[in-house]
Amino acid sequence: MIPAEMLLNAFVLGILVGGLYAIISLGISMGIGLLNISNLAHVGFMLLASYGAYTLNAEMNLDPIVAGAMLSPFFFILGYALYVMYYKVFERRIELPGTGLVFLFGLLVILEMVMYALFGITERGIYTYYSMQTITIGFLRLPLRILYPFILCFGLVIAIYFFLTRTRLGIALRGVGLDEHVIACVGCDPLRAKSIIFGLSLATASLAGGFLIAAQPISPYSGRQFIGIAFAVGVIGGMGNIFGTFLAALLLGVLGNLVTALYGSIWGAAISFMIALLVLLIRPKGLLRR
Amino acid sequence: MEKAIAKIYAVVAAVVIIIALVAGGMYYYLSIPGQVVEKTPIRIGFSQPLTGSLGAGGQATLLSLKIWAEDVNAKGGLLGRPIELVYYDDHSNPADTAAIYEKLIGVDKVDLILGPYATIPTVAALPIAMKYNRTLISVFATYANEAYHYPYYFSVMFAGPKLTDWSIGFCEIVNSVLQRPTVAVVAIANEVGDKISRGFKENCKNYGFNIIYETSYPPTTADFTSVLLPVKAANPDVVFFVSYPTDSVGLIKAAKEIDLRPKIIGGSMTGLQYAFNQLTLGKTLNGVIIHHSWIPAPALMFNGTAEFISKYQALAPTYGVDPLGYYLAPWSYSAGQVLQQAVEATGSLDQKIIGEYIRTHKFQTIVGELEFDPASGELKESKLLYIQFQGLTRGDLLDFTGPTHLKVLYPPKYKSGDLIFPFPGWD
Repeated sequence: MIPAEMLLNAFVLGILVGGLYAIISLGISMGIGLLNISNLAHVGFMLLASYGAYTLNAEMNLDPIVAGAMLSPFFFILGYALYVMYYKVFERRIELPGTGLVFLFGLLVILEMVMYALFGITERGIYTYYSMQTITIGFLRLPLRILYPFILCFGLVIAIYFFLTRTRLGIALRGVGLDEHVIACVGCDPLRAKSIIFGLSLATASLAGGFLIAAQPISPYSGRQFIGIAFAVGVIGGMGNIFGTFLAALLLGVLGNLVTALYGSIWGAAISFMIALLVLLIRPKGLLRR
Repeated sequence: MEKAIAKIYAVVAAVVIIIALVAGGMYYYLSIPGQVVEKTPIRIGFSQPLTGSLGAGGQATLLSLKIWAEDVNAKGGLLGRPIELVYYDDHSNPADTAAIYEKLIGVDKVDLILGPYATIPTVAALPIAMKYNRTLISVFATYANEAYHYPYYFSVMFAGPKLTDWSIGFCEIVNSVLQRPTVAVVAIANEVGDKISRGFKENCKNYGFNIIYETSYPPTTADFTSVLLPVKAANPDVVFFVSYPTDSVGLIKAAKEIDLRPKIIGGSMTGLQYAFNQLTLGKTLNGVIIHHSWIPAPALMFNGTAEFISKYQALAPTYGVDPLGYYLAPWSYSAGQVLQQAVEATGSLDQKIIGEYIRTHKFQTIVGELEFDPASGELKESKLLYIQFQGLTRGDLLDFTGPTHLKVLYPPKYKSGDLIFPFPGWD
């Protein structure tokens, strides 16, 4: 039987891993909740940022997390421009259901191919002073590579929350998700608002990319392993609900870890989706509604 | 007006896509060096996972085979004819692999075939080779012929014919320092993980090791701390991992983070042979024992090995593959050598004659002498090494280059250092 202090350690580590899940899921949740698009390409952009951080680290010895943050304005601009293009070319003109999904999946494949062409297939990782460090508090051992993302993600969630609820622009942006036409009536350009949201969601992908390569090695295709967990987190949290996403990520991290420690990791992975389905049955709009 | 603008956007998007397609096509076309062919070439076809999850290995295999083809052509070709490689990317999708071999044999009408890199595509390629009675030499496939028993299948792969061969070296090392130790097994939940851990458990029984904990994890696992906490709780003398590239790195990181410190740690950890993963972990690898297939230790340098490695390392940056090429690359090259020697010795391109020759003869390659088990097509005798990382001080590429810090512990005939025991703890 596994001792109690180790279970507690697994619990705390689960919370930290949840921070990483949360930061990957934030952008996807914003996309579905506020824009009604399932951005499969999100993980591709995250990987693109990881490779950006890798390059900045190799050329300028820049810390990957700092590099991810530095790249985020560029990802915002990229997201903004991409959404304008997507909106005008696809969403407005083509009315076939599923067009957006095809577009975004296609984009993911193209991104993977571009990364493959630029960086090759070999796994790349970054060795930082904290990537192998652990701090010990009593019997708890906390790896810095997931502690840092957790702290920063917590800050980011609070920042995004205040932005969306306390600023005029933020409230307008949320309004677009609720009713586009009403927003247009009060003199706010829905396309501009939606493009800002998409830009913001890609900016979070850039941050996530920096965290990811600090935590584990990557290859052009390693984003796909996160698609399932990211969407599960978004659904459980209530799509578009920032705090809900964060809580759901922690929940999945903790439950995954505890189940893994007690019964083995095959169950740890399955449990996430069983809970996602359960939450959907009991609360069809997610843990916290938007 | 609005509609007209949208139309302009759509046209711009379409033009961008067309330009990208044309530019990509030109890049592809121009990057293939032109060949001056005087005689009809012997065409050798294969499918290769050049993109997707197996892409890293597929690219290294392709580069090695290209070097092989160049070497053969520089010395006058095969049976006096130049060789030409015909290959396609299967995107790590076995359904594509089968279709590609159908095309190679049926449409391209290649003279000879080679297998793709890795087990899963090889299992897909084998039935097609059988259907057309082709001799198939695969690279780094494990026990692919188990269900087929095809007599003209040969696996250029360091493991021997039995499941237990894979881990016997590790058990020998443990047995030399520990009597009846307690053991934990942590394996990836896929076919390879299952086969290797089954063989290991059988070995444990024979050696009298006591397995006190075993677990397997799904290939999508992102964090390993919780996987290893129960291992730490069990407090075994020995921890044996069976892992794939990304998880090998994750497991070592997590082991350090929770301070898992058995007397011996390591196992069949695929991926830790590659320089990029070694650089990610750096000095942390000190004391870890992993399986390997080739390192530049003096006892492992054969005729042509040094020349191949220097050619490979010069080209590796262009191909974006592992810069050192210690694990897979020389073995891929030797697959070409086996085919070449069989064709030259028999003077024939007849599949049956070549196949019979390979079944019954020995081959001198850059990874040493290879001989195949006629029943399974696997190597008659395992060439699997177990090495320990020792004395890494900087953890940079120089530290992992050459044989200084990679000590071969098993088998005895290639031994280049002594075991550091017990595991000294995480650096």
